[in-house]
Amino acid sequence: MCGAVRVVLLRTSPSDKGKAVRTSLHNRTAIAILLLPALLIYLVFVFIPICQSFYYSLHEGIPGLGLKFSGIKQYQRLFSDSILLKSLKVTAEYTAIVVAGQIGLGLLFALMIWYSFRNSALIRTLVFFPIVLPTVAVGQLFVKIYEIQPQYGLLNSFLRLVGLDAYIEAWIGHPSTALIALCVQDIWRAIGFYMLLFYAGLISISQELIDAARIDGARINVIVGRIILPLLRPVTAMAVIYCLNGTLKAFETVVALTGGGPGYETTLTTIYMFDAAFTYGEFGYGSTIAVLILMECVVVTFLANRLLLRKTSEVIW
Amino acid sequence: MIGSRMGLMVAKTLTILLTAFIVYPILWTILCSFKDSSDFLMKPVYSLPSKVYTDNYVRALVVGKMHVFFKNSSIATFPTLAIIVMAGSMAAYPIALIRWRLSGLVLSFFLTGIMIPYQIVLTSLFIIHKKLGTLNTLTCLIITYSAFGLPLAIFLFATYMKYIPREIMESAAIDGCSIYNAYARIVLPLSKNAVLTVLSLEFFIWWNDLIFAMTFINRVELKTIQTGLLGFVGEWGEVQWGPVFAGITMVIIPTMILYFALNKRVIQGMIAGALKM
Repeated sequence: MCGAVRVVLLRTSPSDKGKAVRTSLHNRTAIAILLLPALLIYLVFVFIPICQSFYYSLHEGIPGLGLKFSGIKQYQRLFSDSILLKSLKVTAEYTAIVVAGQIGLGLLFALMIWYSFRNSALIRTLVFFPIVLPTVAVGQLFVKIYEIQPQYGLLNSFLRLVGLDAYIEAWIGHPSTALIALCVQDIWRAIGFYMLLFYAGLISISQELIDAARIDGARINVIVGRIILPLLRPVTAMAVIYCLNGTLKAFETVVALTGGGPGYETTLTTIYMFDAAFTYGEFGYGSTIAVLILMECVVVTFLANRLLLRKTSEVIW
Repeated sequence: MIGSRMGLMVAKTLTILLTAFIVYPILWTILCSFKDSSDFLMKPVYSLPSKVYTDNYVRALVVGKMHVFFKNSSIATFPTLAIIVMAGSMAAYPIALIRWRLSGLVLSFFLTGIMIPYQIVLTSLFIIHKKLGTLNTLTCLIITYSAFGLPLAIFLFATYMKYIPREIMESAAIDGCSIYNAYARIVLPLSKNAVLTVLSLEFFIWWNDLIFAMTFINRVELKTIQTGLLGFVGEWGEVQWGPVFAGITMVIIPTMILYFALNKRVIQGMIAGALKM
């Protein structure tokens, strides 16, 4: 076992103590060995593949079966690829709706629970639950909720029950409703998570502040608007950034519900990348799209950090 | 209480409605898994099953081979957790508790891995695993999951370990303790909480993985619960609703049990991960 062990006198002077700490705890070899397993796995299977993808994005075809250098041709192709442009539009719509829903409804839900059911851990536990469920289980569950053939699914059955037959739809099959159906699923899934984030922020607000406002005669909308929401600003900022980041990377929930269809109505850029690389066998172009997705995430996260987090020390990227 | 009594009533009602909106679909799925085909054909889908029909589960197991998927997911997930906890805590220790020149850089290096979209490595990892011969194996998943699970684990461990008082480390050093001993006898036992949080959180992340499983594996006998359920429903989904609901329920129930046992840790871990970014 390495690590220099220093024999120390019974009465240690500060410099001896410093020396002992420095020698045994600052043993460079030991630090390197402790870091090695994680560093190695991460380097080989995360960092290097990222660099390689950049490399592949400058090529066409599949490595092994004919990889041809093509420079920035694939990047130029991005601009004229109508499906890619459609996927960017779909991603933008999806992100806007889902972030608004998850953050907005999450905040609303948190306020209501904080106001009316503060002592109920059960409600918070129940509502958080969907986010730990496997996405395929949730997706297939929602397929059956939205179903129209051979039987009416849950939503259509309820519509018929209350006499709203006119609204019965093939929610996933119909181009104009598929994206909203997807958004509802994803909001359903994560609303509990954001509710809990905001709830954690709410309970850290000192009750005395609120009581003082109440004694001064402030009504509830003032208390919420002028005291609670401003105090929640840091949590909201973090939640929005986290939500944006997660939504731009959305892939599994789409595969589980619609597979990208009907047509390209729910094809997010992440879905298109997978199709390009693995269904159509274009590794080079798929890598190019992947680089685009990475840039999307970096830029949006950077901008969000800048706009939402005032202190520059909190800027991550 | 602030606001009026009616305001409180409104809030309570809305909360209960929203909670029901979240919980009901899951309850409905479990109930539907016990319906036979006549229940589906004759009655509206929100009605209760007429009897407890367990044949759907038999079909899901025998024909759908759900047990194989559970086995594969377990083989892919549990070794991953072991690697993540060991390598992660080992790496977090110098980062959090030892002052050396590159510690900030190394931490940032790992942290970039938390935010990246997986799409950026799919093509290159596919080629790497092909060359290693691990394509279409569960080993491939173990390696990939470990690699992508390490950044979050290191972050959580490092954050937690920072609270270990410096005095403990210093007196250990004075007593002649080597780094390895300090790690094994002091840091690790004191980090038990962090270990449990990391385990709970990372379990759900990798047990539920779909993107890597669908990219690297297409052999049916190696499918995990996510890809397996997708394939199972693909074959049966349109016509046979009962077995599909049984399959979904079989996938949901273990997750549910684990979640309700560990929920505090899972929630803590996920929120810590989100807020500290």
